Amino acid sequence: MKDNSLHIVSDEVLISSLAEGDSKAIGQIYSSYYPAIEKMVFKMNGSVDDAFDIFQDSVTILYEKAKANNLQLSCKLSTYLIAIAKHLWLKKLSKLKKQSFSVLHDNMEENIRIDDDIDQFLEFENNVSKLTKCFEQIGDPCNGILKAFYIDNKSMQNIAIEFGYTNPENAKTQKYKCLNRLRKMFFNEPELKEKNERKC
Amino acid sequence: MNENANIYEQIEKYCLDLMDEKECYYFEQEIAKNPALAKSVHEYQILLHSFDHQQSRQFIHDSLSTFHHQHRSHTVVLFTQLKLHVNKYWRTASVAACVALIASVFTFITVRSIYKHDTKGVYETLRLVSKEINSIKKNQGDIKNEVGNLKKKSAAIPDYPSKYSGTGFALNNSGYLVTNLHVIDGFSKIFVFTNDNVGHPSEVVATDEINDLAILKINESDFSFHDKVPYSIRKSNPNIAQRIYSLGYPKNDIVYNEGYISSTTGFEGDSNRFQLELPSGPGVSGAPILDESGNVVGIISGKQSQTEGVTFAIKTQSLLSLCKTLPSDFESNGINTSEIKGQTRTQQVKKIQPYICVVKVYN
Repeated sequence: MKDNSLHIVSDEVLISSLAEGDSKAIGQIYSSYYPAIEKMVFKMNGSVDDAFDIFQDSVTILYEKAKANNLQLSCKLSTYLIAIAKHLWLKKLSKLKKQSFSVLHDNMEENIRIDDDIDQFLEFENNVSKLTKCFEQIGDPCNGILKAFYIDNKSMQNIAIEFGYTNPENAKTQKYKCLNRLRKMFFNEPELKEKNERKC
Repeated sequence: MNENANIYEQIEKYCLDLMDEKECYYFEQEIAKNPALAKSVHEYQILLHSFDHQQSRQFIHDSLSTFHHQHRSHTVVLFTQLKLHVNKYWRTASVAACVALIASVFTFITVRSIYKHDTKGVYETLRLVSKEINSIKKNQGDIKNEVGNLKKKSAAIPDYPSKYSGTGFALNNSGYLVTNLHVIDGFSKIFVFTNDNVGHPSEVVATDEINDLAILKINESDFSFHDKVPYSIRKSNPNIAQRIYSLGYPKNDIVYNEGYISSTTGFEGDSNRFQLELPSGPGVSGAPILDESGNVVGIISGKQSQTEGVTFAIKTQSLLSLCKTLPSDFESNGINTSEIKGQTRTQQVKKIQPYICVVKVYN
């Protein structure tokens, strides 16, 4: 009993420091949970690289949920992470082998309900790879401006200086134009798909 | 153009939740009236989420990579990677030996051509070179021995007594077995003893903590049972009052027991298990429960401590779903049909016996 409550406290603390992006918390998550997940992926025919990929994805899910303050754990953090990792690995495995493994639903996992988290994550991953393709094709200066603003969190002022606009207002107008172009490419440009398919 | 930019600015402000209440109210009304605007807003939201996600994943990937690389450079090779290690060792060792041999032959030829006329010199170098070759041979022998030892270490049965023992039964004839997780949990040296009393090193390939199940695989590429597994695994729930029997290893020899299903739920109503009236003792954990036609209907997992004769078993559904998580080299063709239906109990037991094994774990 005592042991249990201890776990809950440290899990909570860990999650809130993770939400703040504390690198110590990430280090602790790595050292506490990676070995178990590596072992599990090994057992299910995966390599070290597979295990680490799966672990990165699982922690990303945890981080995003923690950041959005959207994580209500009904179990220990380790159980949650292992369940996420297992599902992700089985999904990846069935994709690789083009054959489906039905994911084992035992009571424990039904209580955790991670399917939605995983589906949302996979959708995001899909969007990000689409986004990367769009960025490849959108060209300069849009590529640079959008990345600087939305991914590197630079201020409009700095962006104006970096990209040679007379004032932040002009840079902002340009940014909206770029975003609009990106949106069109992302959502309804059929040629984008074809081009990329040819590339592959 | 400016007007356009203004709309985008508003959309972005709305998506990022930067509007005040009044502004937000009017904008939402606008969205409700204007489907084109609603579509734009929705698409912006997806884009902004994608940006966010890219940011988060990059942050986590980068931070974890740092820890991962620090960790990798410190750790000793894991036991599970032993095989890989042995392979690597061999390659390096043989390359090193070849290089050394070529070098010494080259030295021998060169030196001989230089001291062509000096017989004493030739004798000296000859002796030296032969010594050199001998030491290389010796080195190679050492390496061979070491690799051999490494291999043996993982395969030899320890000479000290085992820590726990339980029962396991075959799931197919190529070395997959099931037992209770509690029998092997936390141990890496696991040996399966077949009924000819030969121990086989094994590894865990799947576990189910909740249902206390573990699937083992015998780690020998040439291992197989003599024939197809004779029993099948029943998919449906067990029936109350059904007569059953079990085969397990509470001692060094196999022990037969019979009884009946006394309840279709387990301890305190646990619906993943069921209750048997069947004597059991330590060592029979993981033993199969069979019905009269030789179908496995459950796996023994424990007993009630106060009441003598009450045993609990895990239902086969849990086992079947665990089997589904196994990699594709697992063939379950053995467990779909019972070969022993309609035979007498003695005949059945005789056929089943070789497929029931002792599982022992060592520190």
